[in-house]
Amino acid sequence: MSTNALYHQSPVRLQEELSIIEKAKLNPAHFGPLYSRYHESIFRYIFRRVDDIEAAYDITSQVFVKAIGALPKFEYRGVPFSSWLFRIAKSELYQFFRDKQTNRTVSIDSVRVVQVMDELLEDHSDADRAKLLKILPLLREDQLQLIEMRFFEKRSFKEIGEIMDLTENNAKVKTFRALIKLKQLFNKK
Amino acid sequence: MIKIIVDRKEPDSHSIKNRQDFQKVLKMYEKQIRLFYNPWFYGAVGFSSLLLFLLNYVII
Repeated sequence: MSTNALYHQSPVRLQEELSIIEKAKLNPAHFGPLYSRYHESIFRYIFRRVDDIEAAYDITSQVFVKAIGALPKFEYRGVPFSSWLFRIAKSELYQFFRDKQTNRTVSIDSVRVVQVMDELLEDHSDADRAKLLKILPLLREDQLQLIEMRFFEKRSFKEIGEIMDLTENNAKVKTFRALIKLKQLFNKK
Repeated sequence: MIKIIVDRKEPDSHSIKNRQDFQKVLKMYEKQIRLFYNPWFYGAVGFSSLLLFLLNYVII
């Protein structure tokens, strides 16, 4: 699995980031470097879940507005700053879906579809892959999020746990259960 | 209904970077702060709450 450089930071970089956070707590104008560092990854997270690109840019801005406002409450307790931002992004996304009464989008790479199919069946055809796309929306929202983050976005269980407010082990167990549910739906349909 | 999009073209890093605007974010934040610190905001909220209370428990 490829490592996410923004998530897996060196101790020096982490320290540098924590000092920017402390400065930004006192003066929001110092938040700039954090905005530049995380804007793209937050935008991509939102873009994959929202149909409209302009809405994705707007929600991304709103995430950072909320982050600046909530920054004084941020305390580093081992959970990376990026995961804290993704939690805000998740909450802003669902606020957007509620406000606009719109449905969410799941953006999938066909390569990743094959990888999920490998987890479900030893041999699979194009028809099986098409079937998978039909049954994915039948999963519960939390199960879909786990499958999405683990298989389509290739996040580690630790990071998934931090974003979903679960322990690493719990994220692993819940993802495994989501996969079993997917398998059951696949065999039923 | 959840919409599934396969092989959606994602914007490249360069175009995402071009849309970065920290000053806009900062202005949005300051606007929000101004609203919350404005006594008129709480006046309006307080007045609406009082009116709702009166309508619910006193008048009706």
